[in-house]
Amino acid sequence: METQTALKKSCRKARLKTLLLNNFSFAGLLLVVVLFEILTDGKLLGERNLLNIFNNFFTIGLSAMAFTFVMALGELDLSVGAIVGFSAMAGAFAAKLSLWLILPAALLAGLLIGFLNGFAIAHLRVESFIGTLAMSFICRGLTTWLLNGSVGVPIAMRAFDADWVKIVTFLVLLAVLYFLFEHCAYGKHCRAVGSSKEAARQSGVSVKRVRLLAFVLSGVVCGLVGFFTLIRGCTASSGTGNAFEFDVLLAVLFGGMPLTGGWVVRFRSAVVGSVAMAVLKSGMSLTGINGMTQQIVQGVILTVVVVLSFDRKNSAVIK
Amino acid sequence: MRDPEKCLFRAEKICKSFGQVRALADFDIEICGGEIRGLVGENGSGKSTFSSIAAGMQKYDSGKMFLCGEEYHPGNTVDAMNHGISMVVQEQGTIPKISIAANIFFGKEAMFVQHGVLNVRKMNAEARRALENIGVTNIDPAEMIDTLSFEDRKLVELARALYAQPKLWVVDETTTALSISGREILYRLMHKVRDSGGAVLFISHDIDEIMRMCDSLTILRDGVLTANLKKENFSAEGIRQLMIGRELSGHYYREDSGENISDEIVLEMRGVTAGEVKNATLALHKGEILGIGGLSDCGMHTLGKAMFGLITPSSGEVLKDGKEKVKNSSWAVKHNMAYVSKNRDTESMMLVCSVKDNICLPSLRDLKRLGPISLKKQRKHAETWSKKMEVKANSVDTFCNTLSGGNKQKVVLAKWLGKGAEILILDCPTRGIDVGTKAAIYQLIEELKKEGRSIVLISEELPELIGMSDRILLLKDGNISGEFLRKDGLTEGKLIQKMI
Repeated sequence: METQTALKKSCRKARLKTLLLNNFSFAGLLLVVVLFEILTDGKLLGERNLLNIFNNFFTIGLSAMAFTFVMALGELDLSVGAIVGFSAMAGAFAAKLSLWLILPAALLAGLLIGFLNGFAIAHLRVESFIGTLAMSFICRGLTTWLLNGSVGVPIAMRAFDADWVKIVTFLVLLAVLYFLFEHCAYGKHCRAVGSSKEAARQSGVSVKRVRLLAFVLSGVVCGLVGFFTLIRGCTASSGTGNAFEFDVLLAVLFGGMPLTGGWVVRFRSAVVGSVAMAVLKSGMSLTGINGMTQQIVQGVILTVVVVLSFDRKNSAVIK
Repeated sequence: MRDPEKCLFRAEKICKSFGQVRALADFDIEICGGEIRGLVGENGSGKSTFSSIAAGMQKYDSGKMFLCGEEYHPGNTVDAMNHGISMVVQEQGTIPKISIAANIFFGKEAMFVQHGVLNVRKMNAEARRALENIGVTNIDPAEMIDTLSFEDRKLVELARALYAQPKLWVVDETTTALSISGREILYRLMHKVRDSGGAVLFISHDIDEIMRMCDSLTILRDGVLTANLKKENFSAEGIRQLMIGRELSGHYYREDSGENISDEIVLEMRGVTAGEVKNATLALHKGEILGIGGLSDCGMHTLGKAMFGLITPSSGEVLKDGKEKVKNSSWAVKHNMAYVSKNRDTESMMLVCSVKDNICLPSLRDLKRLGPISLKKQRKHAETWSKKMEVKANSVDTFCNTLSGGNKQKVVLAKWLGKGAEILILDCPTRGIDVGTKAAIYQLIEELKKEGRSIVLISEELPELIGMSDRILLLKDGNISGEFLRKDGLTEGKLIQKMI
């Protein structure tokens, strides 16, 4: 009798925990929205600010969705921000030849860096943390050196910064990437590799190709983000995309994505986490929290999120 | 009545549950000094749960344990070791990337600290003594543990466990990781502990070994104690029945005496040199069970991996159907080949992952051919094959790390059957698996053969090879040293001659 009640109790506890973890992303979002809605006297969800939130969300969300594939592998891509800067620069230079070349140039630049990342990690077996960090230094250095200040594009390009363009772009990518992640062999292969590289390899997954492609994908999408960043400000400078990688990383972690990768990675973490992140950023600037304090808040959130969502039981497997 | 003075370890009404699964229910055991006690049961019967509780690796829900008459409540393994209970586990229990000596004295480094600095030389010398103590002289304790083979690492674990001079020594499924000479060492050490007044709790799936080694035996079934036997009451058939709870059908291995093998060659190796394997040339015929045996480091495991394209040979080639080269594992899977690794938990399955996703993994592309991979399609595929293999799990969403060893292996096999593999390379498919599942796997292999599929069976156990193979190839130091046909009659004696 006694053991049975204990059993029931532990079951209920476990169920509560899974419920919380499964809906972790929503809990975080709700918390942020309610908190800042109160702090800003309802300005947060005002019509004007919603647009502001969407603009924040757009870039973070795009990168976060592609980042999901990298995370599923149990890897990191710290060169996200640098790729955005680098491809914005490529776009700005291409604009001097023809305005039509801006988008292809930015995408191509992203693809190139993504490929180099992937090649180093998949084929040369560089640790992704190190490889992408090094790549981000290289890109930043190149961007600063080549730009030599900043390079602008014609103001007319702002026409593409229209909301409908962004909404359509976002929805299309959301559909494509979601499909790729949940309903194609590729997304599942990514998670399989993140779960156990050797088991995936022995089940016929080409581990190298899967890893390479994830970084290429992340690179291309960052190229796209670079394009939108460029036309929004009509200028590319060495500061473009600065610290953007941390926004993206924080967003996916906020969405409850585990750093360890594998089958527990969910696509919705990227989307919900990005919304939460955008709300947080917007809320903090509305309440007038200064830059330094914003960083502190983000740091605290990162720590709390990692503590809460990191599943120690599953990571404690002796290798 | 037993003499209470001699009682070394006693457990009363130990209960332990994992979620809703009861692993142990009111389990009692009493172990005396100077005995080797066997603990047997099918996979998932709770043997490993109990032994890990006794060794302080997990907490129990309720019950009491006594050691030498005093209540014993271990906080962790180091605590248990200080109380005189140490354990050697089935899977790898050494810590990678540190030296052998550091492994032996893990948690006890304070012994060698002088003025706040660890005296490595002293530690290495003591480690050498610890190894010599168990009769191992060819291992240098200053080396990194990673340079050792799986078997030698097990020996290091033995040295570590015995250095503490345990009162109760728990040996959990260790023999499956050891070769014949390693086993000899283990047996000798077990006797030594017993003769010095200590006790050994010995867990094994090998009933012959249990009957040979143990003085008494405790049998578990589904977490419940079913019997305590004394040596004079041991019988292999009786023990099996008590473990399974029903009578096993007599046939275990194949019963036919071999037939002519088809001439059609489905897979061949031509002069393959890879790792330990030297210049191996062999052919697998359609519908044949080709057994590959030898001592554990003879290269047979490497041979299996090379066949499947997991290792690229430094010279020679592996050909499928006499023309196409096996490029890599993903090529092999696409061309209906399958491979089951010896290291199930690390190589052949994703543990933190559902049964469904494990089974579907190699077949994802086939599931996709008719549009997107839907959850429904995956579920149906997984359910079909896990049912066929009789995987015991609540549903296909159950995570594999909660399954017992035998069930995990069934999931691995279900994955390949679902893919429709024609050539199966099975490396020790019954390693560390209970008799019930073992019988099921043998039956499956036989059925697959009848369907015309070709099987490579790599095994360290001769009875298994003799029982199942149409043809046996033996390896010695990486060279193929002998070939035997089932229809000519196979005996262990004949095979051993070519192995050693």
